[in-house]
Amino acid sequence: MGSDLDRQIEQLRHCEILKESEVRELCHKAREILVEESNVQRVDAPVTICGDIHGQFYDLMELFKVGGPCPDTNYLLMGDFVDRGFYSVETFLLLLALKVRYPDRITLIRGNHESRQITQVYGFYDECLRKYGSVNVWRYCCEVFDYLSLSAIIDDRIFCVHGGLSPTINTLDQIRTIDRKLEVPHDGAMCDLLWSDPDDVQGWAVSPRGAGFLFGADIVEAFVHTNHIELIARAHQLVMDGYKLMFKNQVVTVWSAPNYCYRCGNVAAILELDEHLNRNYRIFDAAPQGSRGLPTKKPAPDYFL
Amino acid sequence: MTSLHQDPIPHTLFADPAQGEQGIQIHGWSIKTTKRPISNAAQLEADEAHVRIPFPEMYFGQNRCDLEHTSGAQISFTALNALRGVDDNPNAAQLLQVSCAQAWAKSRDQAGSAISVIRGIAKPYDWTYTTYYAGDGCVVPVRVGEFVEVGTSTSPKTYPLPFQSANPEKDRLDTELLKRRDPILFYDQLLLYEDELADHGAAISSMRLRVMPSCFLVLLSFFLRIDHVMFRIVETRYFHKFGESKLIREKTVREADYASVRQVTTLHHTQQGPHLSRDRA
Repeated sequence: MGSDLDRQIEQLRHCEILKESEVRELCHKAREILVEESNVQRVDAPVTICGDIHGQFYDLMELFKVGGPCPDTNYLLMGDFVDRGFYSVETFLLLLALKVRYPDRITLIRGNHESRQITQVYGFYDECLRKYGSVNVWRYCCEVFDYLSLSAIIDDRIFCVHGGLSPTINTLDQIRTIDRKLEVPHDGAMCDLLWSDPDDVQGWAVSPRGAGFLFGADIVEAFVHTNHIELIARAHQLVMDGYKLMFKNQVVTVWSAPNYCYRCGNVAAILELDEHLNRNYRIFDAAPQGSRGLPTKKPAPDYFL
Repeated sequence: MTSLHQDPIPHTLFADPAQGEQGIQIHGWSIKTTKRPISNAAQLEADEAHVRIPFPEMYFGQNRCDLEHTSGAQISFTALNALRGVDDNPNAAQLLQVSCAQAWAKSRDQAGSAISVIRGIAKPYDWTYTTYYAGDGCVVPVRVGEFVEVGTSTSPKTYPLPFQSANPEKDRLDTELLKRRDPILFYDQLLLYEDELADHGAAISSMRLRVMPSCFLVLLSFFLRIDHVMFRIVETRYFHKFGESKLIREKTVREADYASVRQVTTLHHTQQGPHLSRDRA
């Protein structure tokens, strides 16, 4: 298995997909590892925290160049591995293969895109269908999604989650009691952790869209105090400069998809924590055009009306 | 800027890649696009004073399109002004909701005291980022003549249109001319802003331009998809036939519920998911 797995990792590093039977086996092994993880997975520093990847495989390779290869560098990725980019399959399978090969050197937590419903709208489902001719691979991956941890805590001091806090959650222990092994619900604590956003509001507020919570500085202050932590690291929102600190530096948003959707031209960031939890943000650009096997971006003239 | 090209049809293409600019000079017109990355924190701060709503997730604050004629006619399109066209009225927020909103609100009510501290809707505004912006024009004095608008709306709602129709029966886009496969001398497309509605759909303000030997067409479009709820398209076209004394602006607003559009698109593109429609730009 070991050498098989190493071969698969090598293959995926070249952006080549695995056979369906290999994916099934890999997903099975990944579930066996993930099922043992806590809803608030403990991680030791030094560790490098990453935000959304969104199927931008070649930019993930760029990230590994900047941050160092796994397992040399210990990684924590805060979800949204799939959708929107062209290589969600290769991206997720590579991360999963690394997880199975080096379970203590890479931590994957769930983003709101690691869901059946969202992936059917934003690309991953279609990509699986296109690349495999059936939706089996999508199904195997979705089963893995259900086992992904909901958050992580680094050295008891830095709480990492994809979206943010929940009005029904005051303590990390409350998160630990969630039964997470299911599709992301439309509401409740698990949904909030993956969907909510910090915002310039007092207390809790409802998004003007009618669903989703926004939480203010006072909520963060209370959560940080109650749980004896120093920082909440989260992803979920594009931030133009790669990372964004809010609320007296108690919240940081980390975004790791450069030139998001291949058209935004933004830079991305990862957050490196050393063994003393000193923070170092590394900013990086998208992989050069030539390296991604895509035609150049110049739009073809079109007789639109 | 350097001149790249001269052609029997008198026109000049120009480009300044470092500035993200390119364009064409033809028949007294200069048509130019500027395309740069999304605005960073510092650039957002500069525009913040002019906008009373939260910025969309992807705001291309430096992107713009400029049309100028030697007569002095000028039309420009900027991301900032497109965004200023979004309704910042607090009531605008509640007109539409994402598909799961009702179920979500219901369960929130049932959850009871634990979350009774919630204070209501944050900063209400039109979160769909719908803009009826049609460009900024200084169209007088206009040697190229009348400024004509033909407004058509297939939506049951009516929208106020800032210009009167001069002669909606007669002054139309010359679709026959536009359908002709004449050489395209200049083509470009750009984004003004885009928002993913927190993964509940897409709102995209974008432009496309094409300049042919006999005419040009500029399309400014706002596209909205709220997953499982609705679609909305606001389109403004500027059309000018070189040598004629008219610049025609045509604006259309179309809306339809999600299911009926999906029914049609599924028939035509069985292999393609609904996300496809977001990538027009």
